[in-house]
Amino acid sequence: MRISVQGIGPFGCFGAGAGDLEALLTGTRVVPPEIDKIERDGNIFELPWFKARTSKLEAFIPRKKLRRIDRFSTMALLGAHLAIADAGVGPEDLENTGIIVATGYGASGTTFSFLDSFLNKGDRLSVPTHFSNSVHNAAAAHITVLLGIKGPCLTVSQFDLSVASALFTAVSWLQEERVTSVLVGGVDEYNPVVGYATAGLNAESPDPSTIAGEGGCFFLLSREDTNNGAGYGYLTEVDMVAQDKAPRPSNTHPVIVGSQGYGGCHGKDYGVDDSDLSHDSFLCYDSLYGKFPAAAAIDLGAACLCLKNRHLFPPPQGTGMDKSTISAVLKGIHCLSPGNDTLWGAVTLASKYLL
Amino acid sequence: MNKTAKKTVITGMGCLSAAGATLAGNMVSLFSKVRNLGPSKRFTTDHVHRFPVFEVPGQVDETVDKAGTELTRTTRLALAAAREAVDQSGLTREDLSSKRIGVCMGTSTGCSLNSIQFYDDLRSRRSPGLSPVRRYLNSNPAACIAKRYGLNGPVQTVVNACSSGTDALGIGASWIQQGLCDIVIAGGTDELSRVTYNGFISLMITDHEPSRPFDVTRNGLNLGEGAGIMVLESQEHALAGGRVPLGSILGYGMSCDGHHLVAPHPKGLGLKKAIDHAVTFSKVPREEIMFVNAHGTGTRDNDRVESMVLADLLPGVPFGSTKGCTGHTLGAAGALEAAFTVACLNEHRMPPSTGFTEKESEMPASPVSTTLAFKGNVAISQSLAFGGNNSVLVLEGKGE
Repeated sequence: MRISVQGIGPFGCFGAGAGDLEALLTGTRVVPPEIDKIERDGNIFELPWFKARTSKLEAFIPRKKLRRIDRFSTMALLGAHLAIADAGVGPEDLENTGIIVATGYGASGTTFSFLDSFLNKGDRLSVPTHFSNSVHNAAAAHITVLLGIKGPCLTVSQFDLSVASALFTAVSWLQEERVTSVLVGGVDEYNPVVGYATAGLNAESPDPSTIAGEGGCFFLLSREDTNNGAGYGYLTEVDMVAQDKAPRPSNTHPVIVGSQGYGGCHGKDYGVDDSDLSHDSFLCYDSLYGKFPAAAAIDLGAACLCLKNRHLFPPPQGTGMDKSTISAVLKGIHCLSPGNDTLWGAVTLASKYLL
Repeated sequence: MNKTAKKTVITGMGCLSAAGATLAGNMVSLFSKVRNLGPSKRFTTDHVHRFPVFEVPGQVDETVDKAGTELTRTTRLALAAAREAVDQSGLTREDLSSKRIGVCMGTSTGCSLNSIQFYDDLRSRRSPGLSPVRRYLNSNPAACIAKRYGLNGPVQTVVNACSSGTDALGIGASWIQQGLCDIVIAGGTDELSRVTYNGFISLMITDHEPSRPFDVTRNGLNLGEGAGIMVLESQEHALAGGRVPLGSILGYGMSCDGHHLVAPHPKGLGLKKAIDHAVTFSKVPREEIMFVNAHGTGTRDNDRVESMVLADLLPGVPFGSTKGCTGHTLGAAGALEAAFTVACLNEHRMPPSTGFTEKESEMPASPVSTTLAFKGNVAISQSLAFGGNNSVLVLEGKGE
């Protein structure tokens, strides 16, 4: 059984949708980061971060219905709607569909709003809507309610492995025929607390040039026997593996690695050999959209666009890559996300043109 | 389920809650209706009522990780329960290092950066240190168990609110059935905190007296904390390793209401679908189901919907809630209760539903109020959750 990527719904600083992500990757759209000023021990640090743009959600859901939905869920709803629209299906086609949301930090902004409510006014005046929207699975719940989905619904949180972990179970659900399609995606939001932690942790790391961010990407995955075509390509491998077992780049299978937002690829820090780093087909895009756990989903969205277009986008750090050579023999793409410990997320997509 | 799926057996179980420090200890409390609840000893608030909680006494698994960073209490609870489960399974150090072993853990609070002191210091411009952030980043429940045992398989922390533990077991079973792992350590864990305490009180679904699931006077839940863990593997793999199955996960159903963020569907449509799926996957005739371990929180809505659905889909099948003895342990609840269910199957008896004394006339079914003996070998454990999640496991005991 093969699993095809029917539609993608990327969102982030670049805007929303496949076209906006493609514009960022081709360089026709340039997005400067916001600057957050972080105060620590009397000093002010400037932290660049990429802010997601979510206004397109109103094309799918009336603003009135979004009044009580927080930023985290707003972004997830946007990604979910974009993915199904991109796949050319409507909510009525999602009867046997599962939902999986991956997030590193969850609805952290609303969690802090809930803490504010009782720190400011006392425990007795804790705000219930902040609490109910702060649970990690609130975004998935809003998606099911607003899209009328009644299938299995899951939220997973595994920091930088969240997206790979979610895809692992998505594939499992499709293989065991629990569902015929899965709407799966990653989402994370930026807020000043995340900024403070990021700035502090950066100060301890060798490279303080991290650009934070928010956003994500959703995918509509389907079993090939139940859909109308290959979409962007096929999802052929999803796993979490030790660093030394991670797939290596080749001319037929380039690697998109989550450098975690650094200006250049620092794969060596995560166990990638120098020979891999100098390889023409070692790609890294997330300095364009930021460091956050769900950025791994945007990497995967970028891979989908590469496969669909039979064309690799030039990475912003520049490797002297000969795109025409690689594009001619492109059979698939490995997407790697380094985790906190020894495991890496490893997702492989195959071209629909060659299978 | 596809035709090549392998049977998932349970070769180890570990439990920790206010009802006991081990699975056996919990079972004693359930059958003797012991309720270790009272005001929290770990945090204070300014609520008029001191809502009682089911708190695990003392420190839990005093572990400090290799970097010297403390782990969260949620993860320490998980490690303590995992130790009991892994020890019972008899897995050797060589098994742990050579097999492909995944970890799938459920939690509700264990993935939230919600250190109150850190946040209060930050918003008050007191420039807090990053220890709470590091503790949070180092305490992912699934990753910590994998790290503790040096495992090399997939890791997944399920954050599906109150059904997380049930879902983690069901997903772990799926990984085994499809041959994605040799072994999966799965379960759920959650600690009590001032955050969830305030949250549930703000929703007005917390009782300031001991909870009374399914009782006419029920007025809400009591929060608890704990962890439940199972070691799962295929039947062939367990037997080849000389490990005796304690039971099996025969079916897993999961369905969402798509109705409301915090209220169950009034007709329980999602729960019905989840039960149907779980029973269909299990291929067990409904007449073989001996009892149902219900979610049974003690809230007005949850218990009414569960009673209605069980009367409709499984008429006459006894059911009960164990939350009267453990409190609602959120992400741990489903895993604890699945372990209780398997232990009950192996003892051929189910405990009385602690807290229940009087039937509500409008509820079509009531829980058991005394210990019930039976001869069969299959039961259901089910969980409902915020977000409209409904998750159901069909479980089998070890048999004769």
